[in-house]
Amino acid sequence: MISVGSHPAWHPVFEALGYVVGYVVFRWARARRGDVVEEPQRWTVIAAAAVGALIGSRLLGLAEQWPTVLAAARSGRLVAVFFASGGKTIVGGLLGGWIGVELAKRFSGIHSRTGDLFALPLCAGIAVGRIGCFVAGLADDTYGKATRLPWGVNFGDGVSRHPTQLYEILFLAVLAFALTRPANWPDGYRFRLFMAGYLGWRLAIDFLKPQPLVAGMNVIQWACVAGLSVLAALCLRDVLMRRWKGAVHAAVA
Amino acid sequence: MPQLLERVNFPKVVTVLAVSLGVGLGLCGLNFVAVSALGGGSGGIATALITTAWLELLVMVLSAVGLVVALAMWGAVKVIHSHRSAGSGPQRLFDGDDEKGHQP
Repeated sequence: MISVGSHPAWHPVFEALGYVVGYVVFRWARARRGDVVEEPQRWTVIAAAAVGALIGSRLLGLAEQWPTVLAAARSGRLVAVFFASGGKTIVGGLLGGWIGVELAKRFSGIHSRTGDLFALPLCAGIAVGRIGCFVAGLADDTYGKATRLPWGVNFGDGVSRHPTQLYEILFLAVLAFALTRPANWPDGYRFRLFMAGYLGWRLAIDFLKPQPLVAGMNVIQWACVAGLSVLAALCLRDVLMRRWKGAVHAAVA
Repeated sequence: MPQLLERVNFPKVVTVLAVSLGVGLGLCGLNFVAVSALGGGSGGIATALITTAWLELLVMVLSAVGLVVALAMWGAVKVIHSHRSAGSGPQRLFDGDDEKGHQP
């Protein structure tokens, strides 16, 4: 068992560093691969993603702590919980940001698929942020269940736990490597691959976290299922559209 | 004033405020968790944590208010801009029926 303790003061440092690293990687990827939209449109997309991510991460973070929130609502302290509790979740941020971008694109008349440039920065930013989650230990709700494995970590309560944050960093490194492989993918495919990979990962790894369950899974896992269902529906729609266009071309020829 | 507002890069302002509010939310909550883990408000570390928590609360409230104001102003500028571009289009001197009358 490896003893690291809990140091919550470092969490915001790594969270802020995660945003910085994500932005630096985004600038690098944009300079290297170019962009499908102009600079002002890109900033509209980024702003929509930031606001959507903020709302989504907070809402799902509160939903994740539903027993605490329910108790607070019953005792009339709901506003205090909203401001005092640090609950935010990456899955909520990703889904909220995605919805925010789609809404902003609809209002601004942007028709291009803009997500590909976010895939690699998100991998890097989340990985850096997860270092903060690991260091925060018991103060952050991302630690794993008890384990007898030799790499189990003691966050200060004497229990050897799965270092799920470190597992996630390793997974993100593999995902980032896969996403940087040169491939002739259609626009938007790289982002969808990232989303499918990350949501699938969270659906699996959250079984190792001690969270309150609703019908066998925690709230984040249910959100992952919803996100994966939407992704599957979009992919199915694309396949059907491609087949339909192929049939029309064949009929015209 | 509207010209001045059109020069402001609202997407960048909104992004910065949303990120600072997000970081502030995490900071503040974790500080209170740390204080309760230390067993209350006694001791130098706990006092320092509570002081920073209050500062973070201030950042959080200011960025939340700023975000709402920036989003409202951005929306207002968009509406004004769209009205102006609609008004600056070519004026139709004749209505549709007259044009139809000239068609062969």
